[in-house]
Amino acid sequence: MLKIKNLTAEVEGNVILKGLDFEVNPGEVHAIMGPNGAGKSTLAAVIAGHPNFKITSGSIEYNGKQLLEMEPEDRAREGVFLAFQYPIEIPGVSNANFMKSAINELRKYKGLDPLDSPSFLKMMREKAELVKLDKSFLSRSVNEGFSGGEKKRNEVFQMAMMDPELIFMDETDSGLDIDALKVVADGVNTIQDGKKAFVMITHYQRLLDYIVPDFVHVLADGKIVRSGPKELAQELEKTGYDWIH
Amino acid sequence: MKDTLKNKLIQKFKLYESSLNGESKSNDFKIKKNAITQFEVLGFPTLKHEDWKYTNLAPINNTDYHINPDKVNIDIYDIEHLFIPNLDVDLIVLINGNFDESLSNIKNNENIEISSLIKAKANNKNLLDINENKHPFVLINKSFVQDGAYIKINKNIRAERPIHIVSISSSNQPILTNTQNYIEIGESSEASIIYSHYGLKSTICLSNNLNKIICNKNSKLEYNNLQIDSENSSQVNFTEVQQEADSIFTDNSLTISGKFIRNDIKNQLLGNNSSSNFNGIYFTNKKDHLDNHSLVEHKVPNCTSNELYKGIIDQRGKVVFNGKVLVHKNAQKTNAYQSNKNIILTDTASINTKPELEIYADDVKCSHGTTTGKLDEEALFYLTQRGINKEYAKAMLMFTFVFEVINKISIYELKKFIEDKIETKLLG
Repeated sequence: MLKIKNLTAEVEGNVILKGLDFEVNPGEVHAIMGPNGAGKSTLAAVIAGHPNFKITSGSIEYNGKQLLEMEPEDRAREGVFLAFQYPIEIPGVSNANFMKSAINELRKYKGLDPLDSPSFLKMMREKAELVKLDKSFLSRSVNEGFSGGEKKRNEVFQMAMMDPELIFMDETDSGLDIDALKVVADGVNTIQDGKKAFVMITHYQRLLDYIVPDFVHVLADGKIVRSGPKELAQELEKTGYDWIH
Repeated sequence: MKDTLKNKLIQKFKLYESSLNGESKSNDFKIKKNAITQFEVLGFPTLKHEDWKYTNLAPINNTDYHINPDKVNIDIYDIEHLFIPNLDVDLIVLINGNFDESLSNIKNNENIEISSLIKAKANNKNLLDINENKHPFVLINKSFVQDGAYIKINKNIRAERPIHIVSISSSNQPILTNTQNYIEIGESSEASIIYSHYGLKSTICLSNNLNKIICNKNSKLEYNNLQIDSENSSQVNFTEVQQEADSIFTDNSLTISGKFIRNDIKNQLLGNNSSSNFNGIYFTNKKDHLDNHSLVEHKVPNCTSNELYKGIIDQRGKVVFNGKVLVHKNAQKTNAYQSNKNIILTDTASINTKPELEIYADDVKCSHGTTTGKLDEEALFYLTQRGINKEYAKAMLMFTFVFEVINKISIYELKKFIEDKIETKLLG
């Protein structure tokens, strides 16, 4: 599904990714770990199409298409989803209207008619329940006044609504207590249908107890330096990242 | 050679003066005469005058306006779009500065007097003088006033319906109209007013409008300055307000379009525990010019003033903001807050913003601030990452930027109307 070859990316003149290779197939769950500043969030941002990042070499193939030639909106409509580390507040735009605009853009892109209000409402209620968000949240402004845990649950709610194929989760577990973490993990596990690919960027092994990865990678100095099965995460928990140098 | 507007006004007044007989002794004439004399001395301010530093009046002075035109017949279909859908109002229609009885719709109410200003004067209503004597357009208005609305709400009345003053300009040649609205809210009464001006079918017009507002003790007034004007239309609005104790005055300045608009508010807090709220939003694009000046004077203790103006400037739009709070020496325990926030979308758009605090009392809480920036890129990315196209995402963010102020409009139907207009402007 995703083939990244020799990717070099920089932001504000600083080279962050230095010839990174990475591959993801449908149905796989990957974890990317590594020291701070290694480039983990940069990778997620580059996949999603953040305009501040400049790609200086390499290629990203997504379902046979050249991802780097696509605008962020089109990547999203092609099934790429980024669960943000710091979701933005948008006062004045309700969660319902936000999702309605997004879903209808997606449907338009696929040649479908916009979803009618009752179906849409039903869909939203279902997905909100998945992450234990009260249906009253639908009329609230996006992330306004939300706790950290609620914001992350909103990300998973949106993930469920958009029904994407390739999902990057950027430090979704940071700042969450164990209960919030369980809700997020349950939501993600319910969404996983064996065809979706998940890439979890995380510092801590804790999340991986609940969303079990097929592969764990260590991203350091802008490249993936080591890969292994899920046990690698437990090993890293014990050894840390000093061994890299 | 074409004559300047200043000279035309002076000549026109001379003609008028010479046509009078006994009327020249009346108090009414004295006010007019004093005003034109003062205007002759001061003239139009240049860019060297602090209050007009960024707003050039030369183009107006060089436009060949027909001053104080007659009323014309207009089709109600041409002005329907100016009415607020689903809102029942007392409607006052002014055409080219003249009161139009047939299009107006004033419901009978013994506690609320609404009529034309001319009729109020004819009925010897007690009208307080306008204090302002330096602003060039106030001077012109005082000498050349045509007509306007007279609104008086008796004591202890809560007006059921908003009052909507709709002022229309319609002509084949450039016109200058002079309207005055006199608004008095009785003790412990509540009312809301909407004022809008529109130049029909691309009329080149300058609407010079003057409001005199008196808020008696414990009264509450919301004045909505609704500015969705046409491409060749210019407006100058001067609102002079005086508030007695425990009163609340709110001015919502809602500028969506108009070629050249200058708004002045001068508000005096004369009685303890009164509060003043100036809220504003603006969307200025093309080559439009908007200048919002305001002054709130705290003359007594324990009063509160709040000012929040937020706007978006695009293309070659130019906005000027000058908000001043003046706290007199004995106005202790004053709370005064002021904020102007701007989003600029292009390199050619500009904002000149000056919040001012002049404080002579020592036990006060005052703050002022201004920000100017671009649209939040992170927020834009968040929206596009969910598949929302960039233009729509920008419009969403611009809408949310002003949402905080729109929310302060108390008339629900007006709020919806404005939201619709903003949506059209942002996406259209």
